[in-house]
Amino acid sequence: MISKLLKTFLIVWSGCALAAPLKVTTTLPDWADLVRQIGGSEVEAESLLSGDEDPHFLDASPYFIKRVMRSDLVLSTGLGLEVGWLPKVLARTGKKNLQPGGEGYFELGSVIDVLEKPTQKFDRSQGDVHGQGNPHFNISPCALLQAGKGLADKLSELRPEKKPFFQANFKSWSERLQKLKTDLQSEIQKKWPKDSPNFMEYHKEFVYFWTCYNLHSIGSIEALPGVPPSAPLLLQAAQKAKKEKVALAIASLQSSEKHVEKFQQLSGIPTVRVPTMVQTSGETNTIEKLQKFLINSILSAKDLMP
Amino acid sequence: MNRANNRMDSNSARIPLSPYFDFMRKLCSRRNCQRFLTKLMLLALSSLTLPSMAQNLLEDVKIAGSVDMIHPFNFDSPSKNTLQVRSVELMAFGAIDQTFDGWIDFAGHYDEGQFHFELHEAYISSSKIFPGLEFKVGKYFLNLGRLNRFHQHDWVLSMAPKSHREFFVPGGEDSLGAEGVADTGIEASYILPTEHFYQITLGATNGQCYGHCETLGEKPPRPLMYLRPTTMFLGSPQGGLLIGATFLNREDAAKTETQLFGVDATYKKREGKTLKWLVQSEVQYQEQTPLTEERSQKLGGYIFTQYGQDQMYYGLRVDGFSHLNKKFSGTTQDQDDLDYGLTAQVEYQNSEFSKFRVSYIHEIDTTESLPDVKDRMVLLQWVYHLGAHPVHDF
Repeated sequence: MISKLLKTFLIVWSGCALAAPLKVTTTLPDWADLVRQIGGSEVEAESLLSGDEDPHFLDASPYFIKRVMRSDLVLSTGLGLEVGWLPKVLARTGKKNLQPGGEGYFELGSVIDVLEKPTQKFDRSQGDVHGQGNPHFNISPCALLQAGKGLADKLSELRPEKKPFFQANFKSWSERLQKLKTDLQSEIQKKWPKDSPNFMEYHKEFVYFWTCYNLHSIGSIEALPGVPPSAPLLLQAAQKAKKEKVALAIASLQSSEKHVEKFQQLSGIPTVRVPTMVQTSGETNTIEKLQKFLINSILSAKDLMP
Repeated sequence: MNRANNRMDSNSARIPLSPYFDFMRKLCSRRNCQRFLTKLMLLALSSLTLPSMAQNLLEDVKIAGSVDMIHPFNFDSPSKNTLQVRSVELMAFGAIDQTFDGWIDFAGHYDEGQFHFELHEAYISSSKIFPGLEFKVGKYFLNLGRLNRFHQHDWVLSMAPKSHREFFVPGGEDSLGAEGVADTGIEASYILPTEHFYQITLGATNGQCYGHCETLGEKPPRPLMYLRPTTMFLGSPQGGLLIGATFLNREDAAKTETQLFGVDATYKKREGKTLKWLVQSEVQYQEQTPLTEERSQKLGGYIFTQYGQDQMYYGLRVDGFSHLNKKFSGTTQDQDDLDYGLTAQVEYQNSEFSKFRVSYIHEIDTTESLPDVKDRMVLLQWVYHLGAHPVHDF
């Protein structure tokens, strides 16, 4: 009798547990939005970051540890973006399945076509080079489509019975994103019918974005990634920008305000600071809104020309 | 290359070879240490130079080195005013297997004019056995207070405060080199399954060596025991306030019982890549009861505040320490005793991996009816890291 009761309890309990939404903790808010779009009612997504931070430089804080501990799945960018804090956070949870290699840990960087993967030997004298390639793919619709597919497969792996649901969500979301991309691309085409002007970025975090929208960048203001440029290097970058007739230099909200302003003074080229992550609050709180905001910032280039 | 490795192993006691090894031989004074160091160096070098098979063998082993150079300009005792390598650390860490991680750490430092390499830490740990649980077994820096948990080259301070030197490095003559308590034992930390973050750390170590030890010392009647609960307030992705308490109990071989109670707080606030604000403080109270003498009571602490702007960091520290029940020699009459200090420092971080710091340290020991003892110095410090430096806790 007792064993029957126990069996019944276990069946009901496990049924309830399976029915509960999958708790997904993401590093960037972009990934939380992606999880909500693809996971729908089957997931509860929470982002560790709010979009104001520099994801390279954070502490392995108990604030993160407690949130990650509650998760069934941890979703990160990978490619070394969160290497300074996430491995410690995962280890401190004491949950084997959430650590690299475990079924509850997934890096979206593992399913996209990575750009700027070093092909030659490098060391720290070349700045903060990411050995696995450029990790700033979260603002590129092209890479987001690949990441979304990878996420749908991962969610299907964790909840096989919900695979059709996740795949259907991915299909409709990817169609929406593709349409948005096409619309934004045609706006760019309308503004610059022949060829887009040259752009420049402070840190190399727009590479995927330029590539996806077929925009042309002449490189970064930083001579070495992650290293604030010295005055001579800043002057060199400004001279190069003038020579190449750069229409706009773009920088993330986290990049050094002082250096961006100095570049603008030296080159006379307009600069704009934009969010490079979805923000948990404000006008860029979804992937789609962030895409529109970024393209509008780019389109303002001609109007900003001195 | 394999042949070369074998040859080096068989002759490791004599180490002919390159100027690099000659240099390391000079640094290292003990024969056994030399042998081990040679092997460690070979491991490190092979991980950097061998492209295929050796790299695969060392796939998950990370090698790191840290160097802490200082130049004191002491106004009151200028005899040690020289440029010196305060410490060199060589670390290897990584996964042992699917369950355990391993850590080896050798540190070299000057001791009575000679540069010694010694085992700093060597432990096996795991965080993959039970949710919320982490443990380590071996030799390690004890999870006591704030500073003691970190290697000196990772401190935000250039020199240990007086209270830290008194409570965690007793007997250490060299205030510049004072680091902390590392001992052999077991330590377990558990994060409680509550909504808010609470972590309890419990540890027990041999207790033979406490602070600065030339030799291992006699075995005490019971292990050193310690407990450290921690919690966090004002948590956000860019910072928070971490508060911890420390309780320690030790009885040494001479039956002197030591009890230490401490509270520490660390507040951090980041903006982008800059640690905009840091406030770090520790207060400790210690009671020592020797078998035949009277119980002594000591209280001390410090508060350090740092403001960061781009690559520059400006810090100010205030220290205080008092022997609460000091008596005039040969009497039962209380003698006032207060030691205090003020440190101002400026730090430039060239990158995550190298920093340069200038500090002005002003310490005064006051004891009733005795003249004040001053210790004032400017300290230049340069710290750099090579290789895969491990990620630190908050």
